[in-house]
Amino acid sequence: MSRWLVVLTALAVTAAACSSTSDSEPAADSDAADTTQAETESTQPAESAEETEGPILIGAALDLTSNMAPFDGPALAAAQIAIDQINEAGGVNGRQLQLEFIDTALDPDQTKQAAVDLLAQGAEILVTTCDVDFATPAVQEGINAGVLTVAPCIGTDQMGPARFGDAGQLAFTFGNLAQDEGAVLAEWAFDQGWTTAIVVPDNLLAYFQDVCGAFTSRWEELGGTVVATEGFASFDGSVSNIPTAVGNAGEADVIALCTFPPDIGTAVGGIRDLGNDTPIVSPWSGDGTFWSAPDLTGFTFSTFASVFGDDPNADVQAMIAEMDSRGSNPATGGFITGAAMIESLAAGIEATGGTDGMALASYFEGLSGLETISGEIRFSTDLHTVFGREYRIMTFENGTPVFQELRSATSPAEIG
Amino acid sequence: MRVQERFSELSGLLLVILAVALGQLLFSDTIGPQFQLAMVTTSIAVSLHTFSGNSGVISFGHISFVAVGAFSAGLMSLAPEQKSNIFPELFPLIKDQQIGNLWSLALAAALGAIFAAIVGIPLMRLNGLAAGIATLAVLGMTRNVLRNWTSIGPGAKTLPGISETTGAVQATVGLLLTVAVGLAYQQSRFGRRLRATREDPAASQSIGISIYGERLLAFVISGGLGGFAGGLYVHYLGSITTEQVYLELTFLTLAMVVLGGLGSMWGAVLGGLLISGFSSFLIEAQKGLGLLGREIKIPSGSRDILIGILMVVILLVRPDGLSKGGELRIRSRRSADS
Amino acid sequence: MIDPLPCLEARSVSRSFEGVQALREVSLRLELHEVVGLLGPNGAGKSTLINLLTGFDRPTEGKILLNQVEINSWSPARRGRAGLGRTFQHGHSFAGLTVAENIEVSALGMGVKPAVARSQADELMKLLRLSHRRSNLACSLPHGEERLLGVARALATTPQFLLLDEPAAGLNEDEAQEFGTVIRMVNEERNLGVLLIDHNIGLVFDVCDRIHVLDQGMTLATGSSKEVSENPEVITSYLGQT
Repeated sequence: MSRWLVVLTALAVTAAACSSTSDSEPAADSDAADTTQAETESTQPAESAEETEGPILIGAALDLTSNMAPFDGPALAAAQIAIDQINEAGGVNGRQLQLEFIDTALDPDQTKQAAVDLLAQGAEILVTTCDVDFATPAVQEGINAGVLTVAPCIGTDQMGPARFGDAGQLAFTFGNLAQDEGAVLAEWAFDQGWTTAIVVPDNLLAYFQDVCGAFTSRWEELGGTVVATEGFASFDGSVSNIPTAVGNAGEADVIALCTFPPDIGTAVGGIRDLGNDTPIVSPWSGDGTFWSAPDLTGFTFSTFASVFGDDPNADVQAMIAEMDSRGSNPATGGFITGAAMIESLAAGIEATGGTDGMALASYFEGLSGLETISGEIRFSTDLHTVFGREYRIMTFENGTPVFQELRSATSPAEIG
Repeated sequence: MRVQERFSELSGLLLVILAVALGQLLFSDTIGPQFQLAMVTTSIAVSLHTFSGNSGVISFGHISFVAVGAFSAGLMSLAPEQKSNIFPELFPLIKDQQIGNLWSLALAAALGAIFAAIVGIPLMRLNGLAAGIATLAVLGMTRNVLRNWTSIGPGAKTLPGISETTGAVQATVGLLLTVAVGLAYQQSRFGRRLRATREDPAASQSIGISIYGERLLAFVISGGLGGFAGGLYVHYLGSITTEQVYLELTFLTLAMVVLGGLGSMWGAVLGGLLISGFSSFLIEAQKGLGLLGREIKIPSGSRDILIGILMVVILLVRPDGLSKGGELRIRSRRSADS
Repeated sequence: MIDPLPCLEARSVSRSFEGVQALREVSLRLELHEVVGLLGPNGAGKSTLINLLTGFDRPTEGKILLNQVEINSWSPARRGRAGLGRTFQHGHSFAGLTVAENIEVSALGMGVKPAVARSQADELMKLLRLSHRRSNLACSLPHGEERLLGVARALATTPQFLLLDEPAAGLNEDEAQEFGTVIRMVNEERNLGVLLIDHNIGLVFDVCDRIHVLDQGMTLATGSSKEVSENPEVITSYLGQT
């Protein structure tokens, strides 16, 4: 027995040594400061001491290595560019913005811990990954701590009170409302003269179900017919049945496919390999060529910005050039939401005079058309997700996406 | 077993757990939760031990009961308004009701036990190895049902917004309760009969012990404790997906029980606490940490490899695990002399 | 015709394994007041018969009866609880448990309270001279004592019938003789029937009221010690060889 107590004590002492010499984590509050501050080698004082003069820390718990990395990584890079631009111009209310990030690898435990660590480092704003399910562990840490918690590109209506209850008032996303995006896809497709559709939602994420649900809803309002709905879930192998299921579902003018890489590659590749050339429409999650076959044709997606050199907005083109020069060439148009997020946060901090979570939340809820690099940002008390944006409609021609038109939805679609 | 011996086994574990619980007071807010996670994970290991340690049948499906407990406690703690917004397909009974923290833990334990009984009635008839493999099938089925049946749960999505009631107190009390129930069973006539079947199935039958009956009872108790630990877990996490109660947790808790020493409660507790601590340490090291004045950073993903290596090394040096299958006993000086 | 006496009976049982006839139409009857010896060369079917009686194996033909009730379909555990105790040729002690725990758990198997089990274990350890080993792990016992532990464990189930498979192997002559006395004493004081298999012919002839000789799966002879020892067939086929 005594031997084990010695071992446990030794372990406790070792762990204490680790935590107290860690210089990457200044103490968050005075309790912790008692035990850790004394030995901290860091030259940064505890943030509470100079909350008003030091930089405003924006903590980002993002996925930089797993399946959301193609979306999170560029958004983070664009956010950094926007921050640099703001800081060069003198910062916000005289304070500089500072971005710290931790890779979550989409692991729920690491996501939670990343948020805990960032908040302990003194983050005044928390940024989370671009899917509400994966973001949840971090979102809860942020809003429970009373900190405004935002995502660059979550695309459902779930990033807010609907999902997180009263504390969810502090949660916002700069992605597009799925109901809006599904509606714009349906309206564009109907304008091509198509009338029958097969709908393929990925049940892994609420966003996919919602976009496909909105497509169906608007499609039927317009007078189109849904021939069949064939669901599956990413990562569990069920996508391999989709090409055959779609083929067996009968003739249709268009397939609405709501999923993301890697399973989108399997689905689209499989459909084309079976000789099925039916046009396919997809939300922003189909953006990019990193998943597609080199000769893909007839695949259309909606996105925030074209990264294929033909975006109609010169500021967007300039931002892409800046990202290229920094070596973080964006794979999809979603990066722009990272910059729009920083611009909106700066506007909010300036307007409310600080980073108080509730004050910022009220400011955001009142926004109706704040001009940013990613178009007009609007939220409401019910909707904490951007709606009414102008989408870039892009269609693959021989492996390369080509800009077709700018298009807004007439209104978000109603879904069950 | 004399009362004194019973108490000496319990008191040793009690002291160690309380020492760990107090240990977290030494740490900052970012490390403190790691202690709570360690205690919750150890509760799961203890619940697994209650069946596998006493019966000698490795259950690969134990996390099924943890999952049932976690999802039931989590779903029933969530406010009805949020449930209708996020999961409109839920059955009305689940969607419209909400219960408090303690009731949700009780519900988790009850459903864990009931599920274990349903599964155990056919499975416990199989012999040891076949039963172990069949439990793996149960794990797969449970996960697939939870992932696809959106009337009873969040499906493949994250269940959010669960009150984070498992802090330092609930984690400590929860672990102590799990250990106390597990140990009481282990020391009871039922537990001792089951251990006899583990030692020698044929001989145990010759003295009238029904292997099926004893295993089933242990399976149900273990399932109940597993469900309870799942409830603790979900109230620690605050949100959960099916993947968090699937293969990774299965192997982690099996590693704890085997490395600690299969067959003893002390082994399950020791293995649970040590592996959790080591795992947290490695996660920090992956992010980079200062250790005694030096900066250490290990490549991300090396945690699992290092835990694997640690297991191999310990099992080579001590094939019966750290506890060698024995219990921790504290003897007073007087009884040690006598 | 109903027999009022409690008895364990094999009624013309046969057992074949993949075409090999291990037992052929063997009948054997054991009553409460007697000690019956079962003799025969290796492979004669002695252990098979014990396994059939205790349910670890099922006869291909014939019946096993306990107190006139057919119990062919009963599990070993059920037979154990119904009053059939046995030991095993290869020990089969609960290796990781102490001597005391081995005996206690056996009493617990019958559903007695832990305190009762403890006092039964104390008593049996005294009877079989195992008290000095009470806290030793069963796996650390020498062969002879492990067999005795098996007997103690079987007795802890308070059986009506006790089936001993080579319990004296590993005992020296003095110990074997002492063990014989214990068996007789148990038989008389506890009023239980004993079936004794052992290669120690001296012990068997000494202790048993009746002897049943098997050879190649068939009954060669039955009768009192004297009758069997004078049976010419037994002498040529079995006793002569040893």
